Amino acid sequence: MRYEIGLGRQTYHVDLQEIGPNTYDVTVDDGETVRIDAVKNPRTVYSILLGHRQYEGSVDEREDGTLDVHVGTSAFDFTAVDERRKLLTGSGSGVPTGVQTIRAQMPGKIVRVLVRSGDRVVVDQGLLIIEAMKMENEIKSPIDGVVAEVSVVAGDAVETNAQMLVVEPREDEG
Amino acid sequence: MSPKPPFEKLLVANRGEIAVRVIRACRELGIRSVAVYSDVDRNALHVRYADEAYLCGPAPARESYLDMDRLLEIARASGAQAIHPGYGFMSENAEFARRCAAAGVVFVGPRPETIESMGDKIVARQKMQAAGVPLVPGSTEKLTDDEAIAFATKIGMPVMVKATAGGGGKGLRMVEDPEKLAQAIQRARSEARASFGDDAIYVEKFVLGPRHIEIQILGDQHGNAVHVFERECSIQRRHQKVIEEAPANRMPEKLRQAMGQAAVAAAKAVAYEGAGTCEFLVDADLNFYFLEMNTRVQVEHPVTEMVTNLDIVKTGIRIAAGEPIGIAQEDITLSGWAIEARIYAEDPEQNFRPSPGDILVYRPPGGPGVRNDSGVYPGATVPVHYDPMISKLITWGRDRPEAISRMKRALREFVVKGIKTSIPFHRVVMDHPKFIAGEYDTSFIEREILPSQQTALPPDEEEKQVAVMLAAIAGYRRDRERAQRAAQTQQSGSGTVSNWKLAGRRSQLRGAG
Repeated sequence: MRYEIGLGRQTYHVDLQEIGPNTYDVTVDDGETVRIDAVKNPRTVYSILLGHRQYEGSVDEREDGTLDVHVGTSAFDFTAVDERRKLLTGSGSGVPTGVQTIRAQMPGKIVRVLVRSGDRVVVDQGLLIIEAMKMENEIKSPIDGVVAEVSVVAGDAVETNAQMLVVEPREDEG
Repeated sequence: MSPKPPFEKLLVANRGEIAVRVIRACRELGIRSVAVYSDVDRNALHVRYADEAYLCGPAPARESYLDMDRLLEIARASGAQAIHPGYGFMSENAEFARRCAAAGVVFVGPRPETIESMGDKIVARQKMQAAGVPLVPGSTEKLTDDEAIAFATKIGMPVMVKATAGGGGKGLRMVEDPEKLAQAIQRARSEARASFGDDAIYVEKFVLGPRHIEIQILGDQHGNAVHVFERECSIQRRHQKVIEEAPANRMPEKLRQAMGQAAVAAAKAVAYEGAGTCEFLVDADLNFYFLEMNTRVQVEHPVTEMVTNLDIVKTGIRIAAGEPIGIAQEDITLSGWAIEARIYAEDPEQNFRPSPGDILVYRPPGGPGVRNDSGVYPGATVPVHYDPMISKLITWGRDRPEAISRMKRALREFVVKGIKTSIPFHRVVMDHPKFIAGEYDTSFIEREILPSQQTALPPDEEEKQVAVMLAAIAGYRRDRERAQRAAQTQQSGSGTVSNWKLAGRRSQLRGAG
């Protein structure tokens, strides 16, 4: 997995490989790969072993989706985006408003369509599942709204930029 | 130590850490404790530590912790012989003290007349002047607007306009520009009217570069009064104390003795009973001026306890039962240094906005020289209705540097999640060169900390690297959880559909048959 970690204007690219339940091999900005052991339970914060160096840290997701991350006595506001997901949905930045036309960000195959025209949907609700680069990905609604148009059915092959769905904001709320 | 408890049962008319503190004293003294709680405090720590607990009303304090009728009714119902008011709430309410006496219940604190005279700043100033205690130059009478302006002009700017009923930073205005005097008087009056129902004001000279140093006093019913040395409380934000220490910095022995003697004179002038505090301003030239007397146990009493080995709360309870102070002035000695950091449920990054809510993770510090007087526990709720202080972290060291390094160590161990706290802010103060040097006055936070907007330590480069990795791990775990949830929703969704289909098929079969 490759995550894009935003801190103010800085961006870090973090490759993450899960080795065990709490163990990951992590590479930041294509540097040296390090093994990190991060454990926690609901009653405590993370204990992080980077090699044998110990840190305590915590992560709290704010309402806007940013991560309030503390390590030792330092605190940061990060954004964390799965780079592949960002590529597929193009919804990596900003809070979307208005009519949303959901387009394929790369060639793929529609595995399943989860909504029908006229369905009410909420933000982050799954709309359809698309297979691209041999991975199935759920495309989520960027807004609360109503499905205005469904242009694909399961089995369809789609090209980059092909329209798949249109979601309109609900007019009765606002 | 007297073998017989001073009281059999005592009602604690407070909540939070101070209620816990008083209940602890009761248990050590062999007194049964009675807690009171509002609707939102049923689950609070002080209720759990007490022997008995009574509901005192709904969440708003004026309908519960400030409801005199209800508190006295609980005292009667529970058979409590005494009521300890803690600080805040009923603690400086002369009417309540009087009603306790009328109901035959001992009010743990000074006599109602003492509370009354010290609660009125003008009367207090007159009494202190008579006792030879140095006052901040200013009026000793209530003033009309015109008189106040004339007086301020006479003593010269800057001045403080103060409500005679004032306290806790309310009804207080510093004025530098004579043009703004009239407006400041109006503000102080309206604030005082809203807070204390009394808009009388007076004017004092503003002491430049002042330090806030106070003397702990103890007085008993037998005419004895002693001082228990000083506390320095100059680290304040908006006139609210944030960090206190004992002893004070830059405190020549001669000044300590002079201030101690003035405080004892003040105590004797009002026949003080119990634990109280004389607050002074000390200017850059080491002149000291009486500010006010607090007729209750102070939030910051633990720093004095740590450097003198006295238990101020227990002593106050014994005095209320008629016992003598039990220690002579010459036997009270200073040992080491103590610092207290008030841990508030507030977000230093968001202009110290209160941050009530559920405490999800709570891991207080421990080890040598560390004391944490707290009113919360893991899973506790910090209600919106009361003071946001959740804990007082106190460290002791053989000298000030050791007390500071222990404080830094303890602040590092202290983990609170679910709510925001002032812990990161305290770390900044502990690392500040002027704090470390002990060279600060009451403007420290406004002048040294707030302008830099440095309400947390600057990020450490090594910790930043780890934080970037942790953010990726957390992002990954978050996305995986969401995917699992989505998958479950889909499954249960399709399950519902097939159940309906199944039912439809069954009914069709039935219709056919």
